[in-house]
Amino acid sequence: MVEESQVIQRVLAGDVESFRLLVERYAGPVTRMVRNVTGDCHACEDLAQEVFLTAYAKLRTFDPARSRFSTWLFTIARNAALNAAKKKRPRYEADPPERADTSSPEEVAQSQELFAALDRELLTLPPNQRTAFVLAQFEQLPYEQIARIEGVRIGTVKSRVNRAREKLMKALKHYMEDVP
Amino acid sequence: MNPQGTFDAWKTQRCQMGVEPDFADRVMAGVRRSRMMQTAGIGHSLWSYVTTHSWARAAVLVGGALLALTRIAVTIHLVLFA
Repeated sequence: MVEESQVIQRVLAGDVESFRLLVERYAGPVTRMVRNVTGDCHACEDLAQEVFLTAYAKLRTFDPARSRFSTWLFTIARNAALNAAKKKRPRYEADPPERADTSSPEEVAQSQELFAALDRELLTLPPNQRTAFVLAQFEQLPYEQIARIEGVRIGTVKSRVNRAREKLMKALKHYMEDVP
Repeated sequence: MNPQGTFDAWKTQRCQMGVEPDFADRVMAGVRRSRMMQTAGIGHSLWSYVTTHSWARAAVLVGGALLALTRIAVTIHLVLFA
């Protein structure tokens, strides 16, 4: 696997095609992150594309001594996603249903309904809690890296993630009680 | 189904989203486009700077004249001393 720093050096030296390696490495995580923060599965790829174009345009400002490339890229993605979410009223547009692990069609339908409820609840979280939760729980980033992306202390990230998790669990339990 | 199991299943599903196979191609097309615009932009901005600043026009004129004189001097030198 080629080192990211080498790839970045090659891109800065004029080898534009090397940027593809970075795009292929981070396309999934960035698109997923943007989608989970904005709740828009249709526009998320366009937004993720803009994130990569911004990263390419600003690549000279990236300082490897200050942060990892992934931290820098996720910071751009976070800001882009939050700006897009601000402009657009949060409305979760669910992906086409995938087959869950459960077997019967009723159970699959019930799971999808509960997942949709969680998706909607995720969008009602305050933006800071939402981004911290998405980065920690979906992207599995360490708290230290999330703290750098969010520009806050690790303790603040932990508390945001816990609060988000508690709210989602509470909403889920409430929903499960209402829907037999 | 218990809430924790549902919550974990939801997280697993949210982590599994992929991207379209041509995603990287589209990004690279955008990168090449922005690079071309950047290159064209440098030439264009240089030209507009020269056309809008009289001292820049004078500098280009003086530079051209010096280049021409140098070229004449080199030619004369080659004819006389080659």
